[in-house]
Amino acid sequence: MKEFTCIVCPNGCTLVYDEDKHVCNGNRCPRGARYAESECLNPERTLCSTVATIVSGYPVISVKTNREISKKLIGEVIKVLNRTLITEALPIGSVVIPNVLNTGADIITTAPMKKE
Amino acid sequence: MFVYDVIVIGGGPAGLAAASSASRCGASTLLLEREGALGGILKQCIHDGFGLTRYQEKLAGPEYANKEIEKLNETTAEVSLLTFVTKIVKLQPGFKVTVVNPKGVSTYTTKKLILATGCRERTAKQVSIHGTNPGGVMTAGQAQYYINILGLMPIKECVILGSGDIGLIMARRITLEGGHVEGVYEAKSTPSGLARNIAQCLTDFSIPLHLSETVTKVYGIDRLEAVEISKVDDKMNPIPGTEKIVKCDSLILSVGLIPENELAKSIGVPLHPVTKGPIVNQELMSKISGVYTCGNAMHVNDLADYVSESGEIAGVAAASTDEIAGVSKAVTWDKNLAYVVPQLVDFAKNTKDVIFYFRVRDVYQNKILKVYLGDDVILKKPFMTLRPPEMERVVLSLPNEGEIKFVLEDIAK
Repeated sequence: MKEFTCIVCPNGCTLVYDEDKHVCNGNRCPRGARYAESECLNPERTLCSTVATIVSGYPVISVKTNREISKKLIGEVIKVLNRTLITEALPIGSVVIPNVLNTGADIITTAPMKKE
Repeated sequence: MFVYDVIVIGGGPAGLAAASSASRCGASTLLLEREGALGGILKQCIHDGFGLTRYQEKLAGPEYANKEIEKLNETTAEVSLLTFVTKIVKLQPGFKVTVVNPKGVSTYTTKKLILATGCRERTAKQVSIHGTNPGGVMTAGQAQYYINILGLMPIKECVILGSGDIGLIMARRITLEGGHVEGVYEAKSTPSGLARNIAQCLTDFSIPLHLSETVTKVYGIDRLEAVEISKVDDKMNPIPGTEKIVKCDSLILSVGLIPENELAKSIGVPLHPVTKGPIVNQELMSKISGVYTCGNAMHVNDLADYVSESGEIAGVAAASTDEIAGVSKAVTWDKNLAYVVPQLVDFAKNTKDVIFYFRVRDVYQNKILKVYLGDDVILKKPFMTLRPPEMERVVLSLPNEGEIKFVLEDIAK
């Protein structure tokens, strides 16, 4: 039995998951059951962070993984982001790093950058 | 006779939605923003979770802002950036708004005014922390601005006071950026932030949450060196003898938000003592005719989606030329509820699908919300759990005039 808070939506249901029987209790919607299952097998998160740029007015620009990645890899992806530098103004949603660390997720920008 | 039908003050999510919807309803609209870009605080909220209600997808704050800005750009609303409102004068009817911007001082007249001025963070001075005045004591929003906008990392070892959502989000952010969060301390006996933020921001990163403990003193001359933590009793008073010293170079404060209503006060808009925002009717018009409010200036929201929703209500209402004001009835609530917004219903206006937001005073399990219109119960809604940090929303249609009362009862009754 594992108990945790669902992070899928702001309801924040308290989920109780039976790892042997693969049964979830406490969820108010099916997304909660799916979350409980993935949380026990291979927890995943969307990573949001920033990447440095040399574009005037943008010391950093916000980025995210365009799908969830394994929680275990967050530290390694952060290291990759810290080594990345954006050299031109990019429109919002631009891919900065495709398939980061073979996770299947791209790093994309989440804010627009205006050209000077 | 007026330069504009509607002037919106503040270009965050509330003001963007208000200006966009006012313009779509045919009003000549001007949006004033004091910063150099639209989006308000969303610009620095780079975490995701925005837009689940409004767009059915999980967006980062700047992505959500960008969608709202694009919607506004489709309209004919004018935008004036780097523009600070210095004075509002009430005319009969209408308003005269004086602004300062890079072009100098200008004055505009407008029929209606929408105040979308957002909220401010409470500071160390407002939570009575004693000691010196060293660098390194900052609000969660300030830390967020340094890290997410300026790309600076001013924190190595920190203590976070207050378990509000921004504090929790920053605990995770500081950890990801290589800082160490010694712990999050909350004077109340229950967390102030959403349960999902406790899970994904603290539990994920093994950051301890200490309830019923607070910072009572700070040490350091140029830079913070340590804080004194004390346990507190059930009235949140520090218990002598429980002090412990925690070494840190930063203290991050996430101790609540206060609606920003200096402009509202300057024209005599009555505020509600609990929400600290204007008292409004279902069109989000304050008690001063022609002055509307929305978003966090009206009451502190926990989801940007509802901030946008209230902006739309205010925008549509302000754009209407309907000047008839009927008799307003007060909305009342029992002691289990902290507040209900709107606090007034004008029965001469639309009373179909009126949106009410409310918060409870304490944590409650298995309750039923009953809403009375006169003697009739017009809504019964059960709740498994109700928590003060989580704003609730109900939609009501009010077929006849009457007193409206929100009551929370045990489900067994």
